[in-house]
Amino acid sequence: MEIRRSKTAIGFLTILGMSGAAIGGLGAGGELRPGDPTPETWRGHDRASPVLAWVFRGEDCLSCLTPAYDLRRFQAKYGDKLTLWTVSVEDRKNMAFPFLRQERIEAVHRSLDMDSYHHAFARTELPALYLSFRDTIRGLWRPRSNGGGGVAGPNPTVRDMVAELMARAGYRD
Amino acid sequence: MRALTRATLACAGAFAACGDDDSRMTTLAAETSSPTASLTEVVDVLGEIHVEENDRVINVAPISFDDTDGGFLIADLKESQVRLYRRDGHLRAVAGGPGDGPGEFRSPVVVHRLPDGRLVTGDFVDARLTVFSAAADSVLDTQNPPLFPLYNALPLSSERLLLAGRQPGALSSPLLHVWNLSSEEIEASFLSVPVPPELAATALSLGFVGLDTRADTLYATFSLSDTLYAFGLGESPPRPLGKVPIPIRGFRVFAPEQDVRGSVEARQRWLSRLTPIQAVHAMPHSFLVLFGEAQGPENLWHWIHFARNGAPLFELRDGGQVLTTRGDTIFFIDSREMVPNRWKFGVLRPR
Repeated sequence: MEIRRSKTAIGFLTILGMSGAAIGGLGAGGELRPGDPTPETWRGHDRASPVLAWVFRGEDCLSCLTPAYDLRRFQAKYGDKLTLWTVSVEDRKNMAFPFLRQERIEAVHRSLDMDSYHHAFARTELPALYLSFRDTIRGLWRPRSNGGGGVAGPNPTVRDMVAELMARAGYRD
Repeated sequence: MRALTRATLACAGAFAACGDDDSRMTTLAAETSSPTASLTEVVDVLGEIHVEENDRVINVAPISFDDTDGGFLIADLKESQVRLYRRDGHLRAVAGGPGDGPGEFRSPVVVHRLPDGRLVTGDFVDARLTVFSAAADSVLDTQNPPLFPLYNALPLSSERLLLAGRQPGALSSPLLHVWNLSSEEIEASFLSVPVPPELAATALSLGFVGLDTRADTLYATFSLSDTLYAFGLGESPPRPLGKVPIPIRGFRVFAPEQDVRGSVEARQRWLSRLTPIQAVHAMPHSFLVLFGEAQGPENLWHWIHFARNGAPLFELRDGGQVLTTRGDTIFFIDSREMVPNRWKFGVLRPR
């Protein structure tokens, strides 16, 4: 697996306003994928407990197919024990904040333009939900319908993986 | 007292992607309009209710209905859940969750207590009805009226529900139906879609029906019509009693000028220019009608208050979501609060 220094980590460093070395790691093809090492700038944040990052475009806020249902559940269950980031890309109409408020999602949120996004996430298709833990990308999901054209329902895989990783991080119900 | 939510508007917009054709713009406007007002000018706030939440219950898109003991029944479209609350906001019971199994929901938009104590819920997407025990702790029955979608419902008796929905595949489908819970049949259908032909396709994808009753009269609104329809409930099917123009300022409904099926942003641009009627509350001496305006992912709730004879009383922009009314008291989520578990209640000031 190719480990390369890139502007990716710098981009995310800028996005999230974090400190740390800008040494990133992306998978083959330039996309973050499950099993890839977590970019350096994530590492200080996902070492103790998982990080869940929802990356989306402004227009995705208009869709019924978002992971909002799961994110609310995780927040209610784990509180600040689970780090949640939201990153909006090309949010030209500033839809992200009203959307997050309406969906009752409280997260560290940043916006970035497409160039910065490509630096941070290469060409990873949007929207995407990343799960990172102990320096490794553990999961990458797309939103999905609950099958009826309504709001997106829960994703059991996300729920189970978050529960498993939270348990490994020492969280107990 | 029934109110569709911003979530419903958003998802109705999503449905628009599946069914709209290009057609020319049509704007309907009332001949009279109401003076605009601010919230503090029109409402004496009497108190607040903090609706209980926990790690399983989060109010995101609550639609409120009255329980017989003064409490509240909540259908939450985004949480696929129904809840029973005491009048002080204490959580009594929770039912549902996302799914297609018995007792699960896709997008519940209505929950009522039947006169015999049972609870009945209705799902927007597949029009599925679920009958629960009085405490919502067991599922007694599920039924599938031949409608798509289901906009609203009202109990007429323990055996009969008034359903607001479309019969699939029919542009001219009646909107209101008397559903027999015992025979599981539609006994009567009435109220043809009240829009001109050029809005028929739009009405298919952007139609909500507001319903309320007072005494033995049923009041209904349709999202694309600035008219209030009244029916006598003493006969089957309910007998038309008349219509009242809603004195709404700047009522805007029209078909999209281009095909919006392939573009979320184009669809949103179209939706943001509409002000569809979303709910009606029949108060003792007046009507309170809510109409919406999409702003990005949010929906602004505008209020129009008018007398029984149609005389305008006030129009309030962005007043917040009115959850229910009881006599002269209204329960609402103040748009400035933006927290759907913190409700206010008060009375409308005389004007």
